[in-house]
Amino acid sequence: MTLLEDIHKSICDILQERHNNNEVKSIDEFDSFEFIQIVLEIEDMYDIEFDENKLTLDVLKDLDALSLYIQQKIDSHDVLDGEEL
Amino acid sequence: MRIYEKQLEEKKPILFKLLSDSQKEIPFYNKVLKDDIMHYLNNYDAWTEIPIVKKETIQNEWTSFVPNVDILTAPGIKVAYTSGSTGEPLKIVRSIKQEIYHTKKLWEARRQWNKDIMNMRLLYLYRNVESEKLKVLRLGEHKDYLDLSEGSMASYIKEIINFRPEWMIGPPIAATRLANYCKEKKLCINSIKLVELFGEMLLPYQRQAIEEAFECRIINHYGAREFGVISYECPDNNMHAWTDDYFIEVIKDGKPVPAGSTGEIVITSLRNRTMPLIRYALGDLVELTLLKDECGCGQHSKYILKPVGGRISNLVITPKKVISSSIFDTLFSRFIVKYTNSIKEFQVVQKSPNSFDVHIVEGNKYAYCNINELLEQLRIHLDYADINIIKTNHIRNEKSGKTPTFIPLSQ
Repeated sequence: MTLLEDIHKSICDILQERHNNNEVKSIDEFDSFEFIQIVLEIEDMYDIEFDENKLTLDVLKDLDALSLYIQQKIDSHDVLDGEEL
Repeated sequence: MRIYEKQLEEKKPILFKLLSDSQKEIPFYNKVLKDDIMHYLNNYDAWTEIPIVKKETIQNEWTSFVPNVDILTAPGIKVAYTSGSTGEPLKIVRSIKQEIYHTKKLWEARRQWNKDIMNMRLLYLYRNVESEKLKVLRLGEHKDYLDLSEGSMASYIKEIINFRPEWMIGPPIAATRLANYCKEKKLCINSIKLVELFGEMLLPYQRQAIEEAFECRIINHYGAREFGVISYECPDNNMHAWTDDYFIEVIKDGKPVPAGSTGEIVITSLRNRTMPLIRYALGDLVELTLLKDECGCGQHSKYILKPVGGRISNLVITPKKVISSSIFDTLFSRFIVKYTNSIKEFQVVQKSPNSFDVHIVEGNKYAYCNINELLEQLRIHLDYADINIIKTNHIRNEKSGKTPTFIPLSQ
């Protein structure tokens, strides 16, 4: 499994666990608490920190963009020390 | 004043952007800031040339503090109101993105206490639950107040024991009342491990009573509606100021005080670009210090901010119930938001269990409001007590800088 596939799967698993439904559109039902809960889980999982501009539901909805973003963070040095981009 | 010079140095790029953007987009700052923005960032003395703004200034010329009035209905924008504890509620505008960033940061701070806190069962003593998705027990039926009378406490205890809360959030006055009730009745609610308190100043005796009754740790959370969280206690008992988000100054008699001295907090928000609040005097008394070494909790902010004088609630005891005096902030705020500029300041004085004097400083649109609506709401919440309206020109501040909105029977 590639890293991108791994990230996709992790996010879908989180969503599925929340709503017992792996359709991405279910994000629309999330309130900010649940959204933050997912963001924090992803941050913990990949040892990254989302920057402020990525904190929108749209980012989670667009899994490709999110995966690319996370991969860029992982590829960059700042992921290692946990700093924001 | 090294504590301010240091912050200025650390935040220079972000302050430059804040001042430049504000000068371009916000009428008030276009008027008061010089063209040479860098001048204010040369040193702290130059920074203090920027005028301190008070809530009243913004109230009086609100449209000068936002880019345009259409901002209120713009997408991605959230409008909040201050509590009204110092008179007329102030309309605060910020982006939803900023709100989410801030809420995420708050949960990160809470997770320092327990990594799994978002999944823990929460006993919530406030009225509006942060999220319906929390595993939460909210006590009482009324949407505006929590009845803290002995009879109600007895019924809450049954619910609490069944729910087995793992942590609690509430105002100090309600949490203390619950703690004292449990102590008096020798009730042991040992499932509660953490209690987060905010909304009013946490007094030492309250902290002790809650710690003893529940054998739990206390998290002191200092914030304001204008900004959100300003400082938050860590597991090493330091109240870290959120200096990534604010430039914090402490002023007394118009001059900055040295680190560790008491003065009024003056805040610049580094995040709110929608309605910039630059050198805003919040009205609370605080102490700001700088840790010499890293805190054991691992947080990078060495700035420690403790509130030492601010809003304190009291109990309103009527023949039928006991409630927090914050009910007056709720009822007056609601009325003033409906009838803008109707009331400038207010104070409720309890004269007997069945009688209250309500001191009012009229706003310039008082003539257009229906004061009977407010009277009726007060009567309903105070079990149809006698309410006497007393119009006055001024309500005197206390030493803390705030005007208490309620004077209880015993004073």
